[in-house]
Amino acid sequence: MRARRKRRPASYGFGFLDENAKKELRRALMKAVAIPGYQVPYASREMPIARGFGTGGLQITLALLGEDDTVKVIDQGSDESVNAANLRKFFALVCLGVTETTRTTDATVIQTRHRIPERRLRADQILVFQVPYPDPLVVVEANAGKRREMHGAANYARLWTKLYEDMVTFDEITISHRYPTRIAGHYVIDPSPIPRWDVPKLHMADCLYLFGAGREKRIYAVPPHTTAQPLSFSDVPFRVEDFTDEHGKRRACARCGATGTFLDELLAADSVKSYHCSDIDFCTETLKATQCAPSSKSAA
Amino acid sequence: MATTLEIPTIYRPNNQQRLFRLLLDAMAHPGSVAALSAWTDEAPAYLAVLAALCDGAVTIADLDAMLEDADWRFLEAARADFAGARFIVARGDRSPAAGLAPTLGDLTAPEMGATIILVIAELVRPGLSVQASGPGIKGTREISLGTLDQEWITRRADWVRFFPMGVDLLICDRARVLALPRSTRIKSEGAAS
Repeated sequence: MRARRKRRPASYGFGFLDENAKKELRRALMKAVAIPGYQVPYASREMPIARGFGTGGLQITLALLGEDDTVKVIDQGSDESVNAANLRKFFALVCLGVTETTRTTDATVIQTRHRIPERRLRADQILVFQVPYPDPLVVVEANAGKRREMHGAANYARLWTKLYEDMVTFDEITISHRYPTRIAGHYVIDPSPIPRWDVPKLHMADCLYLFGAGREKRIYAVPPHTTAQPLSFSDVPFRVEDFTDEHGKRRACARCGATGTFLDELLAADSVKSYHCSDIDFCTETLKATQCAPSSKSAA
Repeated sequence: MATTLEIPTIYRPNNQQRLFRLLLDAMAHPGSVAALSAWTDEAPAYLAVLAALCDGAVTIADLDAMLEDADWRFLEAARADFAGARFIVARGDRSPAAGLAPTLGDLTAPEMGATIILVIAELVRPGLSVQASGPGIKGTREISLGTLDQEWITRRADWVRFFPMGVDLLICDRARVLALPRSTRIKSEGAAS
């Protein structure tokens, strides 16, 4: 078999995108922050990954990054899944000088698919979401033009009706992720497929949240210190996922023992279920802190 | 003989990235003052803002003829009058012209509302002061607008009355910039002594 020739490093300009593409993204980002929750249209470029694999988030991150940035990429809380690891490698390839990290506290820009890190993000950090479907009204209105009018007038009556129908049929709102959330009292956004657990983190955060939908060509934002209210009825309050076991006890992470995190359910080969933190960095840091604590040292 | 084109600092991509991040941070934290001087090589802040955000796809209205021919060449943007311009540059320490009516966008495309860059002598000098609240501001915040003419704040109130339509202000002195997006609610306190 013929040996494969080693590839040369890619000779792209910094950030892969051309400067005009970055400027268009930057103008869209400025308007997205100025109009919280509004989906700003932009000319989503062809990227070297397929649409639906995070091209929206990728383009925002490339428009943001500079040589002094530290970037982290997570996919469902994990830094090592195929999507996250490949996007991180891509940033290293096309943004020379940018530092890669898996530590939330070290990152200046974090690109995420479907989670918000457990640790509260600081004012100097930006979280970039990969968004598959940006418009929460798509479930009640097929016409995009009409949806834009409804958003502009903050007319969400049909969305409320949909939630009410859920109540009538199932006794609770059945949306598990992509929970419609009202930003700064006007626009309702689709916060991307984050679990309900993460929705309250959008409210009055210290950091800036940016959302990019590459296939749908939309960018929107939730600025810091901005209200983010999940839609709910006064007599049926919004609630997050419940991790209590059959004895009424809150489940703990099998690895680090944390009891205040969003948990993934894992099924072993012998069909035994276990629960682990979804946010791997948080889990690892908690584990380190536990192992270094004086009580565990003396126990050892 | 070969000649080389010396590209001014503010038009170099790495500096534009840094300027953009400062502007994004300023927009996300209305009223916070961003110092641009480390990336401008003494170019005025308003020109650095335009350089970071504009290219051939946008239009600029230069109301007080502050842009020189060389600036237009590097910016690549088309000239426009205020009614259709995406970006408007004007002196902020004078009152706006009575007929000034920037584009506010519409309900389905509020992003078409103009970005107005106001140039004043000094941002942090005692002068106009306002109470601001809204997205990006924890509670309320007193913002010093230095030598900005109060009429701009009065006119802004009309322009942003029908949110999400409106304009976004970037107020610059020589080396600093402060943002007042349309989402910021302002209560004017008048000029201090």
